[in-house]
Amino acid sequence: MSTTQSAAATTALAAIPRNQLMLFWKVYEERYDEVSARATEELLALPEFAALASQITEEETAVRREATRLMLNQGVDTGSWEAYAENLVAQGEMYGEMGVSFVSWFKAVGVVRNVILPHLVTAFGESTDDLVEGVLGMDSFFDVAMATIGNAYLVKKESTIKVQQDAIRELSTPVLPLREGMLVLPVVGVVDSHRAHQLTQDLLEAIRRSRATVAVVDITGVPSVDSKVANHFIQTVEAAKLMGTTVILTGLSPAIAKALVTLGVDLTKLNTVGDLRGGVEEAERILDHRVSQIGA
Amino acid sequence: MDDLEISVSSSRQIPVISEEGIVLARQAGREMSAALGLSGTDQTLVVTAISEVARNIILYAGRGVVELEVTTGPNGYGLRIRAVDEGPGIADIELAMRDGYSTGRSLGLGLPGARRLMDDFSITSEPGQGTTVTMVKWGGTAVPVVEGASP
Amino acid sequence: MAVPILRQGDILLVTLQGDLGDADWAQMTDHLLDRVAERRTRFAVLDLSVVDVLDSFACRTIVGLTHMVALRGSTMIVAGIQPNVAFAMVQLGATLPGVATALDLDHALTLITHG
Repeated sequence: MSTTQSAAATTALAAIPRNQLMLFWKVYEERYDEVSARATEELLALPEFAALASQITEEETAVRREATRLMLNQGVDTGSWEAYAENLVAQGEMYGEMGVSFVSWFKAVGVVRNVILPHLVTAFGESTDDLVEGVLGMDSFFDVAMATIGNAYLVKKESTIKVQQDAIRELSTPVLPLREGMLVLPVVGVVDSHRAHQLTQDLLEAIRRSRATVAVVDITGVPSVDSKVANHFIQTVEAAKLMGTTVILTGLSPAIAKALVTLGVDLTKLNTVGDLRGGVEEAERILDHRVSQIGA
Repeated sequence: MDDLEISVSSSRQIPVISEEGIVLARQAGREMSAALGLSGTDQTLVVTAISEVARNIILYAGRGVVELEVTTGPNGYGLRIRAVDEGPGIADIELAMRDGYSTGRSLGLGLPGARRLMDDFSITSEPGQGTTVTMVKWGGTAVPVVEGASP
Repeated sequence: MAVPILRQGDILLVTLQGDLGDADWAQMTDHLLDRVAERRTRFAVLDLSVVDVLDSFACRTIVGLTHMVALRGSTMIVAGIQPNVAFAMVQLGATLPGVATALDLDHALTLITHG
């Protein structure tokens, strides 16, 4: 995927008229270290970069700066932009991965343009044609650069969000085989319809795999339990029951239970115990007696 | 060696004129949702919903047809199911969509249940003009091969 | 489609396979009730581990069958409902009130010997 992105950037950069690029690069290269340092300074000042800023050494920064300069030089001189294009994509992906806001990196990287412009005027002030061409070159260059970084940023951000959401979902609903025949499912975080369905499916699949006859579902970590969420858990309990498994619900405070009953939720369908430990003890009792009320 | 290619047409019509039609409609639903790459869970939801609406056709109209069609939406492919009959129609759709099972009625309409199983759901019905139930399950990933296209 | 019913002492085992039409359910119900009546039968186990869909009709039939079996002095246990099927059933709102369930045939037999 990033190869198509860098290929697009390579083509776009190669399409910029060479004379425009050369005029722009002439000024940029003269001021390269200074301009580059300014941009780096702006970036590292962002809170998201705090950790990175403390780890990165002066030497490393200098090395990277030089490498980018060489890539730019190669591009302008030979028209071969592959390396720089990949660099742009990698940059965007890094910002996306680090969770930097779009505006933040845009402003930081855009500093370069603001710094170069006055120098362009100074360098070409005498010759209007050259100034115009130089500015056009700069604009075209930055258009491609920003668009490439931006696109890579968005793509990476979207996939990072999805990975994070999946990870959160995974983390918050591990199904733990505590003992043969028993599963424990600690639920943490907000439970909406989608998550509730996922939870139910995960639990049922885990019951099938581990052949459990008792499952303890702990909802201490669920911030709010309204009648909708309660009904979701009732469904989970009923589905497990169809597979012959008893579900013990723990972590439902008496206050919330009372409120739910007032709202018309039929809590008799739930086997509730105060806390997780109590629930596990109850589960062990059930397993030890191997009692399952027939016809209940 | 040639691979055995299973091609699924992008639409199928299953006449439902007896209770055997319910089974045929279910099987067609299973085949098409599997071909569309729907998850095992979603396939079961689809087949169950089809069973409910097909049964409704037999119960209230005596005969009708279940149409299955691949459809595209903003997030990919889906399976659209239309249960069409020319029966007496539903006088009060809102009433029909209220759950009957909680009051203990064994002959509650399968419509509210089917709605819970599917993503999109709508009914058009006029007394004396029959009923059409339309429902969609999204989440298909596989591209269906049109019957007759060369491999 | 004839549904096989096996007897093991005072336990009957019914294994449903594939997709059953209404007539198949009716046939199975009649057949099972006959077998329950023919000899002392403590338990009848309905094995649904190879059934991939249970609609509201199937659920009503199972509940009715459980009661009829009980009237004849036996207890029915429904075993092997698959996760996807259980999920669809609760979404549909068609649960099996008053019906004993077990994860699979093995668990059903454990239930019978230890319950």
